[in-house]
Parts: sequence; C-alpha cells; structure tokens
Amino acid sequence: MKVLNQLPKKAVAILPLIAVFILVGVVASRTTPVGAQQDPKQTRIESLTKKLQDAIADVQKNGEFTTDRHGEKVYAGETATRMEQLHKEVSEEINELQARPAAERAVTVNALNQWNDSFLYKVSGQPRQNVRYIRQVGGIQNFKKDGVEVYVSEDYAYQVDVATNKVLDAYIRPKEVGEPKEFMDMTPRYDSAQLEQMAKDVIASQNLGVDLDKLTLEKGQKIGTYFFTWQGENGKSLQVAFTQGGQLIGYTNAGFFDNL
Amino acid sequence: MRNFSKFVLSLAMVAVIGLLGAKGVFAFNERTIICSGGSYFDKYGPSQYWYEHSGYGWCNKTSPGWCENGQCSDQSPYNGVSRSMWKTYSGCSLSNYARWNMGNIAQWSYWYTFVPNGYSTTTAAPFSITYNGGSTYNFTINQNAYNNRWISLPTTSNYYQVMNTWLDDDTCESPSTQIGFDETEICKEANSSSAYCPGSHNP
Repeated sequence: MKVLNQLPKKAVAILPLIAVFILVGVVASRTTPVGAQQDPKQTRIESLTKKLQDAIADVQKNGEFTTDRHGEKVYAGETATRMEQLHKEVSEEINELQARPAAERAVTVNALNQWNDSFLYKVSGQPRQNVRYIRQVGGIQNFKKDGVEVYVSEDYAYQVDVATNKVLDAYIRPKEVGEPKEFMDMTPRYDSAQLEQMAKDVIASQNLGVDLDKLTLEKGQKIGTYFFTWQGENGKSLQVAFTQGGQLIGYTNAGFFDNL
Repeated sequence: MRNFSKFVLSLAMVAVIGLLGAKGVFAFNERTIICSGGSYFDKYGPSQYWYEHSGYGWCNKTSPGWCENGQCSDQSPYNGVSRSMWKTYSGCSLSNYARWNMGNIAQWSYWYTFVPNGYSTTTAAPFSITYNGGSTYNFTINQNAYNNRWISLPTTSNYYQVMNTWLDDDTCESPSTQIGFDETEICKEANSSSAYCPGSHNP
C-alpha cells in the first residue's frame, strides 16, 4: 500500500475502475450472451462429454478396479471394457461432428494416394497403404497452420493442408498393441551421400519454391536410419528421413508454407 | 474514499487472479509440455541404469524451450545437466520406467511425445497412457525412425482426462538398444483443432 500512497490521488481513484472493467471483461468473455443460440454441434459435444463425465463419476464409486504393473489404480474386468467402449464411441462421434464432410475428405485421400504412389513403394515388398481420416490439427512441429488434417495408413501418419491438398508431414506412425509391426526396409543398400541426394529430390518434388542451398543442412543418423534436416530462419525446417534400404520414412515441412 | 478504493481494488485483483488460476494459467494449461527434467516426471528402477544426457531433446532444440513451470530452462534446478534427456537400456523384464504426470484434467486432449536425435534407438518403445478415470491405452513408438520431432498417437484421436504417461524398458531387444525419455505434451481440443500444437506454447 506504500506504492499506492506514492501515486497521484487521481490515479489511485481510477485504479478500482480499471480493475472492475477487467473483472467484467473476463467474466463476460466466459459467459454466453443472453438470447444467443448455441451451435447445435457444440451442444451435442457438451452433451456427449457430460455423458462420459457421469459414467466416470459413477464407476469411481461402483466400478471394478485393479493395480497395474506401475502401481496405478486402473479399471478392471467389465468396468474396463465398458468404459473403454464408451470413451471410444463418444470420442468418435465428437471427432465426426468436427470433421469436414466425407466427400471433401475423400478428395484429400485421393491426393494422399497419389503422393504415396510418387514417394513410397520404391523398395521391394512395401505394402500398399490404405489411407483414412483421423482428425484436424492446429500446427506442424511448432508452427501454427490452419486447415490441416491428420490421416493414417497401415504404417504412416500424414498431415495435409486441405486448401491445397499438399502433404506437410508424413512419417512412420506408432502402433497399437496387437497391430503388425511397420514395414521397414533395412537392407544396407545406400550410403549417406546417396540418401542425401534422394532427400533433395523429395523436397524438389514438393514445389515449395525453397532454395536448399540457402538453408543449413544438419545430418542425423540412428541404426540404419538417416535424417536430413535443412534449417531456415526462425526455426523453419524441412526434414526427410530414409532407411538405409532407401525407404522414405519421414518428410516434414515445418514452416515453409508460403508457396503451398 | 481512499480506503474504500483500496478495498475494491484488492477485491477485484483477488477475483481476477482467482479466475485466471481456475483456467490453469499457473498450473496445467491448454497446451502443457511435461518436461523430463521436472517435478511432473518420475523415474523408477535402479539409478545406475539411468543416464542423463545434456544438449538433447525438446529443451535443447528450442534452446531454451518451454516446459511446465520453467523446468526446461537452461539452468533448471531439476536437471543435473542443462537441456537434458534421459535414457536407459532395453531388457526383457521391467526394471526401469518413468511416469509423466499429465494433470488428470477434465478436458479432451491430444497427446504427443518428443523423440530426440540421439540415445533413442528402440524400435518399439512401450508407452501407455491412462485416461478416462482409469482406462489404459498401450502402444509402441519406433524411436529409431525419428529425429528431433513430436510424435502423436497411433490411430486414435482425442482422449478425455489424461492422467499419466508411462514408458517402460522391457522391449527385449539387443542390450545396447537405447530407450529415450524426453518431453510429453497434451493439447486441449479447442474449436476443432489445437492451435500452436505440438511444441509451441505461444501465444
């Protein structure tokens, strides 16, 4: 309060008003205006979420629990099955409510099939990939981007700019327990220099209007996997990854969105 | 009049702080990165099998990056070394494992983990997340296929009330196979997508 006493009297008198305005503003921003009609989709999402919340509250009292290998208390028996199923149903319905129409997504699936034809299947035995929609997403590796959707196939995950149907990100996807292991051609067929040239070719084919010579190349390697990352200004990057057998296992455009 | 003004001012400030706090500004937020060097990360198993490496992972890539409560900062008190990640080696029975406390927030979230460019060569890192009040989702991540990037879940979309993320060491690969432990993140579903996610904590 010493600080207040040092301020001019007029300033002190105004401070409460400012505080009240801030308070009113914050409250107003969190309140639906009287008479405003809520989006029916949002109403449905809230209803579905409430259904799940009620089920969670119920099983906390009446459900069957066990302690897992980590010592965490988790659902067991019929409770586990029922709650997993309910979550799946609710999640899928919410996801569908938020998605673009299926016909529009089908166009993107076609674009992804063409992309796969161009950049995958270069190695013998790589299975054909069947692409399906997963969800919308708001950014690519630390870069905000509106209008991006996630798709997956048997072995890959993709992120696509739906305005242009250009692939911004494609990588070997994680696997649920019980799924077949992803195909990875680890035949020692190419060296780093050859794979670097193949990576440059992949980027050139994306028609991004980027001059790789003006970016900084960082090379990475794990066990039989090679990574080529071109770093630009402000953290932008282009990354291409291959197995030593020449299978494309990653392509990421993080931030080079100007010429999509 | 002056005392009344001070009273109103104090009351308003308390109310504003309370509202912001309820939204999670000071704890878990809509985009929450849980750092492997912080107090929301717990390691289990014999300490001699845990190895910390400086200059790797999300914190190093963004230099300094952002994690909950500043644990990603260059000289974090939670880390033995700066901008670090952890690793352990593969075994055939559970020995070393770790937990990221994801906050148990009552919201729909997308999940991500960051795979560094080193010390992470397992082709089947056994992850699990707990959610929905007690459900478990098990999946594996081929860390050998990634280099300094965020990775999401296999095929599924959003998860409600994510509680914990677990990563184990019993991949039963070659004993020299490394399992990397770096940051995880949840992003709140908002208006069909989570802006600035994964990675950034802006705006």
